[in-house]
Amino acid sequence: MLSWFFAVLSGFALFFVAFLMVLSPLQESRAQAVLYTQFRSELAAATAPFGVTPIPPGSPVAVIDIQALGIRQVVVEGTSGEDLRSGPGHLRVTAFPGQAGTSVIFGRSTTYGGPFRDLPKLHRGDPIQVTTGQGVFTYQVEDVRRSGDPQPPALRADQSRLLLVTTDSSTLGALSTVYIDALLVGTPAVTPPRQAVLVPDYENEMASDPSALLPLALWLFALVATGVFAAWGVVRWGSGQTWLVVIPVLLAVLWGASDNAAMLLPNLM
Amino acid sequence: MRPPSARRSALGPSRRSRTRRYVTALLTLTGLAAMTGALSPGVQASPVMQTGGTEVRGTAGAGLARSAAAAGSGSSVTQTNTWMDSNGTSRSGTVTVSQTSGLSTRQVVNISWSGFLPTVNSQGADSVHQAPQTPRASGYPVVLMECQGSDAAKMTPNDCAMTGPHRFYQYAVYDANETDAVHKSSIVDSRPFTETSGKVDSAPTGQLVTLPSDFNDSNVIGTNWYATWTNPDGTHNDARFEVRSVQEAPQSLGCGDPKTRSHGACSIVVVPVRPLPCVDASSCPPPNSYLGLSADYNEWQSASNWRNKFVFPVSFKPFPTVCELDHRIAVPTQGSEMLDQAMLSWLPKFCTSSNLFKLGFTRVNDSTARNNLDFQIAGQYTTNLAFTTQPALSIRGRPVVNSPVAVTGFAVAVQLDGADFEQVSQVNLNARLLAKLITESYNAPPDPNVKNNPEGLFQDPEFAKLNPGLVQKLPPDVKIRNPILVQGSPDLVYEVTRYIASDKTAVAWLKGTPDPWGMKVNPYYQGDKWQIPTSTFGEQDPYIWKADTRPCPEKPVMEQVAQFVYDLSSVADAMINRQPQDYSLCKVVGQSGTDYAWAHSDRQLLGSRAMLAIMDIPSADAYQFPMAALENHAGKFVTPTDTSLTSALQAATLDHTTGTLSANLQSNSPTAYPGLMPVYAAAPTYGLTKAQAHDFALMMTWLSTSGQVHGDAAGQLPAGYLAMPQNLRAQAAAAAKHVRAQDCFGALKGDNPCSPSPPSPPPRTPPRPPTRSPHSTGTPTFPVTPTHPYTPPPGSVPGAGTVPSSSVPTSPISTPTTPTPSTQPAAFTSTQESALAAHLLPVLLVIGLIGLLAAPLLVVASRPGGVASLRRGWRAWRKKRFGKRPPPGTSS
Repeated sequence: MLSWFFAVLSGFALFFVAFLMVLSPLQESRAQAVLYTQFRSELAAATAPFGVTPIPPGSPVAVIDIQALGIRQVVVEGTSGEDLRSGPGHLRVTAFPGQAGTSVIFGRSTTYGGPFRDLPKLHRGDPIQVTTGQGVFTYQVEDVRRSGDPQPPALRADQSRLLLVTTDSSTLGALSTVYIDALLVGTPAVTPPRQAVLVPDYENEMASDPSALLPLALWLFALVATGVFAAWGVVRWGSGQTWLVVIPVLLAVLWGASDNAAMLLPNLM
Repeated sequence: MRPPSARRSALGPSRRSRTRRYVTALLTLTGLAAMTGALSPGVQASPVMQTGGTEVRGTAGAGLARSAAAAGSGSSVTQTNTWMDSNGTSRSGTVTVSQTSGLSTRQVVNISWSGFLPTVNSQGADSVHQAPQTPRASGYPVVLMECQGSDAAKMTPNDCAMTGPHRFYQYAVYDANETDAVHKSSIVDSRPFTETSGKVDSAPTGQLVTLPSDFNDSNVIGTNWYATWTNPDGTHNDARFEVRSVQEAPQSLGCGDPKTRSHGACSIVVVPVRPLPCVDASSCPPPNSYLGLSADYNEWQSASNWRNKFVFPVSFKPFPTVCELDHRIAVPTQGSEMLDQAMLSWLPKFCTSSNLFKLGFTRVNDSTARNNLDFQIAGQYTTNLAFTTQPALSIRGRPVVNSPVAVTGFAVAVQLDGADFEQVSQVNLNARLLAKLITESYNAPPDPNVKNNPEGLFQDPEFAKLNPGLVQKLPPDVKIRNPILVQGSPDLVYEVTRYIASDKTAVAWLKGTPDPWGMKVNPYYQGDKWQIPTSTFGEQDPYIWKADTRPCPEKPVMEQVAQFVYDLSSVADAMINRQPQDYSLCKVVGQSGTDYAWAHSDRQLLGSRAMLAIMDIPSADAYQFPMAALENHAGKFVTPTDTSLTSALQAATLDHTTGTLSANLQSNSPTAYPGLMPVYAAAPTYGLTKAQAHDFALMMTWLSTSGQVHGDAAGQLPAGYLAMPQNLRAQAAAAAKHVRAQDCFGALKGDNPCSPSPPSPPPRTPPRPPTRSPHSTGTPTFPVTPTHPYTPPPGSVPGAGTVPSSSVPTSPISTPTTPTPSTQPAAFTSTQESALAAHLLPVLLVIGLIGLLAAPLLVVASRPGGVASLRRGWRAWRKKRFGKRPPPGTSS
């Protein structure tokens, strides 16, 4: 009995690690492909949103290009763990990229492809290009900040700053947060007055999203159901047939459960 | 490790039944896969293109770089010119321009005249009102335009911004006063135009002169010249003229730009067209049997008319671009659009004064500014000063004080021309008519939801009742169905809807009671579907006309006719450009000729305008839009004036928590305008650096003293704002002291960050203030209940809901406490760490590997004799690895 417990436990643990390191990047890259297609057509039709009315979280709002690191990612609106699964996210209460003020973009460093993993390698002066519905904006990196570093000078009203937030990462873990400041070269785009949005706490840096608990419970329920079905099938149906059906289902359910469990982890991981 | 029964059943069945089971299994699997595919939203790889009507697209108006206001009284100029009549008597005409200096670009001035020849029509009637921009058939019109230069003697028609079709010589070639060169020309030769750079635009015979692209009727803003009439008594009292500068017309006018050939000088030029003295009577129709052509508005440039011109040199306030020369770092502030016009005057003053500082102002919704006051990013507050109408509230660790900076309000601006082309200046509206306009309740065929209602404001019997005789003066088919509304959520929206909610008849009508003429509210706004007061206007009627054959994307009928723009300055732009903001025309776009998109209706012409907008009073004043009189609680119709705003301020309701005022819509004052909106500067009284505290205190003091003097010069208060009374100035002075001292004034009960005990650092992300829920109530009372426990300091007026008119709001601000040195928040980065993020994966990996190792070991160990066999295996391995002797240090 104990051996079964260990086998299942280690199976789950290893699957979760494998999910975070291998499968979640796949998922992110697919999400990026879909978002890119969507955002491209929105740009072409000039319907890409730029913050006049509240943008639903998860929809694409910008493309960020960092040539020095070979990064090209579609930025989505919102910074909850759920939003950051598909790519970097724009902190909803901050200025829209390209407009006057500080615009904050979060990105994961370790899981889901870790789009911002290499960001701490940026140097002062490296260009960052951001494309939104209002045009293409080039920012220049001012500084990479860690704990204790002085904050950048206050922004003038006609300036725009990009604050990229991610974490330092070892191969298997996310350490403390890192801030990358970049200042807009040129004048910011027109800033339309926006409707105020209040964001829940789980959209702040390193927060975890408790709303994933319920779906996670449902996924685990499905996992148990699959197990029961497998046991019944092996007895009544035949082991070969049963495993043929159960293994893909099991993988799918494990994937779904892991995807939700990952939202309980800090969102910048 | 299968249970024995499983093994049996797997071996048991015959070959055929096993095949059948595998087929069943595969089918099950396929079914599951198909279900997953159908349910997964991510499968739609190519997303549907969104073409929502409310999305704002394209480039935006340049915000603050635009126009401004002026008090208009200081620099009024009158000129009198004298000329000879055809029968030799001397005649004189007088022209007055309401303001010529301290103008803002695109500001509208008022021009009036007397002693001119009355305008006649082609039948020779004494006077005829013609549509101002197309007075084709009228004789003796008056042409208004803007020209480069300020010296009337040196000015020629070549300097004047007038479009190509009206530069042909025409009858000038027969004008006795013209030069020989002109006499020899053809009537379809053109006067050249000289650009600000000195470049001369000319055209060969018969072709139009092309002016620079900044002066063209196909632009968004069009041109500003026009021709209008003189009344039979030789006067005209309210010709409005929009003045442009280098900001709109750098090549054609360049006013205010010292680098142009006329060094930035510009003038408003008024040319009265009179009978031409002809070299040859057979070429010109005799003046007294006028046929229309030799005295129409195209003759503005022939020498006989040109010499009678009136030239009014104009000068501008410093443009906001002057601040680019100030290399000091701007002190950022943000907030209410109600300050747009005032900031156009205040900002250049701040950045050109060495005893002030460079003030930066970002326009955002009031609520955004209030939230940003308490919101931190990476340890820095998003803003330290918010301009807002509703008060900003203190939160734990961030006490805030509200200091008054301006008193103004919302207006319903009306651009309406009568059938005689005269602009309508007096319109009465009440809360129910505003509700009808905002709730899309006027009939817009083919929308069935409102099909029994009148087709527009002027077809509504209620409007006719409030405005006796007005509807008869309008052209019969003119309609206003939708006002131009702002799409964001400035506090202005809340105040407008609060005004509607304060009116019992309007509320009853919104709940579904028809008005006395049977008009009902659009069911999509009825009752709970539109809860007021609210912070946003919105389009709610989703009816789509399925039978529409136009090739544009499907769009609800009301979304086509609704006129939404995204900020208040765009509302003003739409009105001055006479450009409706609907999306009801289906037009071809792009090169292919097969792509269609929704477009605005055509620009309206001067003389046939019908537009209505809800906007701020100062912008309406700057553009001279007539403002509707609104019905107040006493049942009187009141327009926004200094008097009516003062009455409203005297009746205003005081919020004891914050010391701020808001319009009291239950006041019985007969003279109070119901659209009062004071604006406050909210700043924290704890946590600012010494420099910030000094700057903000200086700003509060300056804006409430020097900034409250009406005038046209930079730094003076434009029209549309009430100069603050003494008690509001005193409140601002007290607030400035608290900000300068950083004395934690206004801190929540039990929260004293300034106390001598070591203060705990402010929370990284403090809870946001409880904002007033705009959707919470349909009752007309303003929710002034304090949202946090707070004892009003001594000096406030306890228990007084309404301040009596004799003692306008007493400042609830106590005498300043002794300034205590405030602790400065460290301007250093603090990072976030998470043990979970750092160690989860390695730990999981270790658990997994241990489990992987432990499971088979446990299996073997649990067999009978398993432990012994394990020991045997271990010995065998050791023997093979190290020979017979155990390695040193291992115990066997």
